[in-house]
Amino acid sequence: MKICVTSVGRDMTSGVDPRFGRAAHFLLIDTETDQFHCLDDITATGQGAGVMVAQSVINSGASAVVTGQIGPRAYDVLAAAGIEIFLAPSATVGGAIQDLHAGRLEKLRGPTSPQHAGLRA
Amino acid sequence: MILAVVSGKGGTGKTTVATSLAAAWLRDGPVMLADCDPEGPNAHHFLPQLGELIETPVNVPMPSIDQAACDLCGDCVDVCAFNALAKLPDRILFIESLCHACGGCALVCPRRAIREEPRQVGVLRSGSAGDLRFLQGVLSVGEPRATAVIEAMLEKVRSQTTAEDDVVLDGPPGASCPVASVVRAADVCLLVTEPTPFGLHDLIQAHELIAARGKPSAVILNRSRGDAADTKVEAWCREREIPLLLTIPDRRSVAEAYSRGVPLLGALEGIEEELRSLRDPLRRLADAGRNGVAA
Repeated sequence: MKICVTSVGRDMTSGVDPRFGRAAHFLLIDTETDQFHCLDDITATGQGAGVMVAQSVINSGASAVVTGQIGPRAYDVLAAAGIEIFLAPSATVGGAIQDLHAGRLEKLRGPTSPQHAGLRA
Repeated sequence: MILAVVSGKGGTGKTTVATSLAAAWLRDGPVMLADCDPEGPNAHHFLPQLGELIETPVNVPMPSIDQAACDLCGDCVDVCAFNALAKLPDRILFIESLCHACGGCALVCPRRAIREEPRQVGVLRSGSAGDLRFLQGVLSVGEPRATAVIEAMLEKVRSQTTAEDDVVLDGPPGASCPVASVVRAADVCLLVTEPTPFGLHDLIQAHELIAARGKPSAVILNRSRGDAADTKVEAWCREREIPLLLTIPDRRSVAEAYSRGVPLLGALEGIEEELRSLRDPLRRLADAGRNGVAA
């Protein structure tokens, strides 16, 4: 299974970026091989950043997202695509993946934030 | 002549000036006043003779997707500049709150699976106050785009007036898209400012927007106390060679009249003639602008 984690840096020791649509980087981790790579083609600009990033996550083949917060529109797109969303706002990317495997992460049932919250963070 | 009254900063006196100009100019010919602030229309408060208003809906075209006809090619998602469409594994998802109703998705769909359907975003109200023709746009609560209502208003203004008529557009505050729509439709812009740092800051910003569209402008300085604060606005106008057409004094009587819905004409002696006398210089600016003289 592939998991997309919003990240402040480009490797597994980086912290989870608390924002979804406006995150600095997006790491795609394959949990079967433990391989990861940075989705470099995502640059959200202007309006609808959350939707645009959600689209890229769908295109990447990820079946789950780990982030710190998520707005209503991105949530709706990911949920409609059947992608599960987990919160790990203060972990490293590697730590968040371990927590996810151990069942320690909370699965979201709705957006955490109003629109544009990532712009104010 | 189509005159846009704008300011940048809110509360400088756009509506006070626009309603008073319209009333003063009625003695010289037909005038239409259009309240182009669909997010907070208030000009009607200053038209005591206002009769019944006729309401017409403002609609924008929104995409409706026939999922059965869609083959998930994703062309609509790619063309949408506002990320209002997303391609899910099994269907196209439409996020209405991001849609700018540009129609691009329906145009590019190779399967013709997207049809545009009207959705109401506001209303136009038209009527008259004595001899003054009046038009007002109101944006529905929760709708994000005032420009859709403003464009519908401007279309109505153009279809119902001739070049000989005087049209006063009472503009929205700020210096963003709604103001740009109003400025684009105008022959000349009248900037109403106040002698405060905020007033001057936003005056400069609004003027930049006007100049970028090649429209001529003039300034009215409102709420002047005749002190040093005025000189900054005066100096800026001089430096930019923008005519400062009128200075309106800061008077308690004006504020009291405003609170009762009485425009300047009933509150400040001599103002009616002063406002009437602005028509010719503004018409000259408008003519020069149309001939490409003004920057």
